[in-house]
Amino acid sequence: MDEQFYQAKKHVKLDPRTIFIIQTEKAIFKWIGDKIYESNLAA
Amino acid sequence: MKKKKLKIFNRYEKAAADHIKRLQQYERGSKDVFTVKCGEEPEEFWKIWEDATSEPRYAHNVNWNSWFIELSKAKDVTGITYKRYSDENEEDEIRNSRPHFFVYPSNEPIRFFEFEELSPETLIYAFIMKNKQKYCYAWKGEEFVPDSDVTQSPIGLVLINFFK
Repeated sequence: MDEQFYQAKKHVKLDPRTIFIIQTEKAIFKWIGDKIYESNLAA
Repeated sequence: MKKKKLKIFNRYEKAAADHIKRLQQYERGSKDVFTVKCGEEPEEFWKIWEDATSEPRYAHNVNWNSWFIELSKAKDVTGITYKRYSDENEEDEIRNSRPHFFVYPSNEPIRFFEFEELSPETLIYAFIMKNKQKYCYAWKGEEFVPDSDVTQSPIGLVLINFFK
C-alpha cells in the first residue's frame, strides 16, 4: 500500500507493526518493524 | 506418522520484495537496497527526513489498526480461518474439500490461496460458506481486462461445475 508515514504532531513516526519501504534518489530502504505479528510472518 | 516439513513463508517480506521490484522497474528505484531493522538504524537513515523526526521515532498509528489483523484470529472478520497444518493428513483433507478460489478465466480451483494471486491484472472469485449460506465475492484488480475469447461467464462455469 502507498501511504504516508504516521504524522504525530508534525514529526513522522514509523509504525513497528509493519515493513516500510523508503525510496530516495540514491537507494531504497526496507525498514522492518519489531512488532509484526508472528502468525502473519509465517502462515 | 511422518510429519511434513512446514514451508515458512514470510508474507510481509514477500510483499515488500515484490513492491521494491516494481519501484525499480517503473519508478526509477535504485538498485541499491538496504535492509534496516527497527532499533538498529544508522543515523544516516534518520537524516533522510532531515528535521522531520524526533524521539520517540516509533508509534502505533491507530488509524491503521484494521490493517494489522492477527491472521490467526481473523476468522470472525472474513469467515475464513487461517491456520497452519500440522500434518499431511490434515492438509490432504483440506486439499480435497470444496474449492473456494478461482482465478478468471479458469474454472479450475485454487486449493490454497496465496496473496500473490492478487495481482492488478487478476479477477478472483471467492466462495465462502457463512451461517449455512453461500456467498460469492469477486475481487478485481485495477488493471483487469476481460478476455475477449471467453464467451461464457466464468462464474457460470464455476457454478455449473462445483456448485450444482
